[in-house]
Amino acid sequence: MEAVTFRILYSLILSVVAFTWLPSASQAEGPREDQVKAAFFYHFANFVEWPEPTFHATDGYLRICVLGDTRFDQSLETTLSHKKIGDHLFEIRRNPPNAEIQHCHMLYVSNSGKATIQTIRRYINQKDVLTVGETLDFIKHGGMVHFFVEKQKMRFAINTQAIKNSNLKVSSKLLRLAKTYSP
Amino acid sequence: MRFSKEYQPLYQIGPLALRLGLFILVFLGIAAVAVGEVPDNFSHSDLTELTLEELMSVEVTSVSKKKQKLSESAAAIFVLTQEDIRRSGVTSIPEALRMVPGIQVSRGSKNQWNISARGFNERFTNKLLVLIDGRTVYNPLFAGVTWETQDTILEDIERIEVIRGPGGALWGVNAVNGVINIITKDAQDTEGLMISGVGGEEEGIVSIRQGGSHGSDLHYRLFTKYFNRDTSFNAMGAHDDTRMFRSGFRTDWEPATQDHVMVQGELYTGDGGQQSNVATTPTFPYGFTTGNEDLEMSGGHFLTRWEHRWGSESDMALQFFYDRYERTENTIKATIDTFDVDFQHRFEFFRNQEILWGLEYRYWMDDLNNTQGTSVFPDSKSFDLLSGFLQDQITLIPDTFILTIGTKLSDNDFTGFEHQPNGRFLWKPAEGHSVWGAISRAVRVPSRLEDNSQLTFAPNATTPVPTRFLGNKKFKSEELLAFEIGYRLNTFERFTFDMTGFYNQYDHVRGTRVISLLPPTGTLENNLKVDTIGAEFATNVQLQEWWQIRGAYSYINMSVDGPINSSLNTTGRATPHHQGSLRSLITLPYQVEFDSWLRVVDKLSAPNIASYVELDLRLGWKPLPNLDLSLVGQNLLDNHHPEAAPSLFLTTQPTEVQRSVYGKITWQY
Repeated sequence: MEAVTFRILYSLILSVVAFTWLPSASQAEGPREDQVKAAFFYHFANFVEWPEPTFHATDGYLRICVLGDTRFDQSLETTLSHKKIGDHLFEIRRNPPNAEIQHCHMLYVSNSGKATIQTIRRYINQKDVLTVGETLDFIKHGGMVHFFVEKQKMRFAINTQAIKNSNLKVSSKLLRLAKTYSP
Repeated sequence: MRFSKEYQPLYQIGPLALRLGLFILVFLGIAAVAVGEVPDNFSHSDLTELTLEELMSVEVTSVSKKKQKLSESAAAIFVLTQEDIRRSGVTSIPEALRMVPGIQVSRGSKNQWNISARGFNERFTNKLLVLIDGRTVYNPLFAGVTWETQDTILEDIERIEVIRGPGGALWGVNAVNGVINIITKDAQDTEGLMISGVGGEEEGIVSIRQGGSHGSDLHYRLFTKYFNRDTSFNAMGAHDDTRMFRSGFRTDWEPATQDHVMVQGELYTGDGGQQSNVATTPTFPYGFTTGNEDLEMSGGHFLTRWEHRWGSESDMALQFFYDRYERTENTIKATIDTFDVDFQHRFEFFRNQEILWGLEYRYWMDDLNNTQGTSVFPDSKSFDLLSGFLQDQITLIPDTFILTIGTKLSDNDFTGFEHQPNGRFLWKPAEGHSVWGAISRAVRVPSRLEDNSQLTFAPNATTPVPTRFLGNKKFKSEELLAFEIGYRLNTFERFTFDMTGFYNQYDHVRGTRVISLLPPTGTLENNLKVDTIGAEFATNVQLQEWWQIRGAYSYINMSVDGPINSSLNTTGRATPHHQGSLRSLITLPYQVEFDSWLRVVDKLSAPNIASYVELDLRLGWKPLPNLDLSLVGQNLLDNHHPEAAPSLFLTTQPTEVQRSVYGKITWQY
């Protein structure tokens, strides 16, 4: 009885594999979500102006920090290495020590792992850090930008109040393309 | 250390080579495909050359995720975070597991924990796999975990992932009812000096950790911890005070962004009191002597793991560890040395598949000192285990329907070849809602004690006469066919909900058979069939920004079928039907936290242990950024309450859990 069950299970597995491997090769291919997001960071860097002293702490680098259990830092690394904004090259840090978060120009907070809203809130009022998250709740709690996917396309929303309270200058073009959120 | 070459006949090399050959053949095909696979995607084109407007019109696929989000797994998974551990006020890993739905935790004494997932709770629970930073914590003598020796600095635990149910293709031979994966922090996250002290009437703990770095790629930490736990309660007088000292290190080195090398090691030594009945003569009635003793526990491990990534489409991990375990008590003395090599490789296959496969080889040898009470034959032996797994995760509809199929194959010295297939699906009908289901087969391989041993027990609550049990050379693997279904709601940051239902059919479960009435002698036999059915719920509610509620409830019913003269009436009776946990986490102004935790555990039926309700309270204050103070009261509702039934094997006097209050100070620099 049991042997039969497993024979059936194994044949099911085999047929599913056979069935699904065939059509998959011809699927339409687009870039992955993380690759597109990484490119967005390049544009954010272009359209946001940080106070000049912030670059002293980073030796002139434009520093992007990634918080949480994610390897998005690698996508950023791949996309942004050797790119320049003005004189500034990019520098990517994953999970920097808490005390160093104030020296990040952009902070990406992944939805997973240890980065809970409570822990982030402690850094979110840093006036020189552009905070980017993945959920609406993130900007509701004071975050500045969040990504979302709409009809398979990457969109972003900006918390205008949070930007106003910061030392950052955000170009009107970026604000125009974003969905705005004001509490 | 004694090597047992007399028990390792040469002809074994033949089958081993054969087995290796077979495994290599099975996986060669996969490896060939893996090597040939060139990650394409858009890595060659530069997306930053597009304008923002163009970028916003690109269609994205989110098929591949290097690390799947836990909320998207097709399994009953629950994660305890460092924040959970800190705010619960627990001082040991077993206590932390009380927060997890579907896990049964009961304390037998200050050095005995009965921990199981989905039933079969007893001291020598054998259907659970526990990993600490990738190292299997497995005692092959009884196929279980010696929880009393598993510890580390709790502040350095990053998270504990708990999977109830068969661990799928990925995990080891005894991942039948669950996997507990304890993950400590990357050394990068533990820089600086931390000193933490816990002091109360029941226990004193001192933890010291020093973290540092060399350049920006190499991070390390050194730690040491000592605890002293006081005697608990027993009406007849208890003797279970326990002390343990441990010291270790962890190094994380990232020479390049694609590589991560982790090296860690630890040594521990300790002793714990128990009151035991030990047979002293070889014949009935065995001349039992009852007395207090101090068992000695010591050991250590060394582990190194290399992880390498090829973009985000493919990665691998190669791990080696050595573990030594030593234990001396009146009934038995044991030394076990384990060597383990593990390789895993993951890669994307076409656009919609992700393949994960791995190979593991483990070699261990034990050296035992037999007594009249417990004898294992031969008293020194070596074993090896070869296993491999293959899993394919197929995305049938992007972001909506994912199918995972896989199997684990293994070859062990007791029962030979074993296969453990499983099939899973994950369906996301709408953003934030996931439905999953799984059918899996899992086996629990025999332990050394079940294979060939002679155990002599003093009269106890279930058997009023001295009894002897003999192992069974024909003991087979216990088998499970598991059906699971679950639903997860993750739409809102303020409210999450998770529920799982399961139906498990076990066959060839260990029972007993009487072989002689005088002197009373029994043997172990695979003569029970067990069905379990149950449900587990977990929820997290953010009532206010400053107030969070976390609840968990689980129900399980075990029905056991087997011959009348077997252990029919005792199997599974130490598993509570209902368990509930309700935690409230309140963050007050001026860096003050007030947390409370209410636990309800149903009665146990054999032997009788009453149901109980307990309350823990914690008041925390952070007067300075680097100073944490807290006051914790545990098990506040009773002076003392019993939780665990005495084990049938190696019976020792159980003790009761007492009310306790402690103060804690943590200083970080």
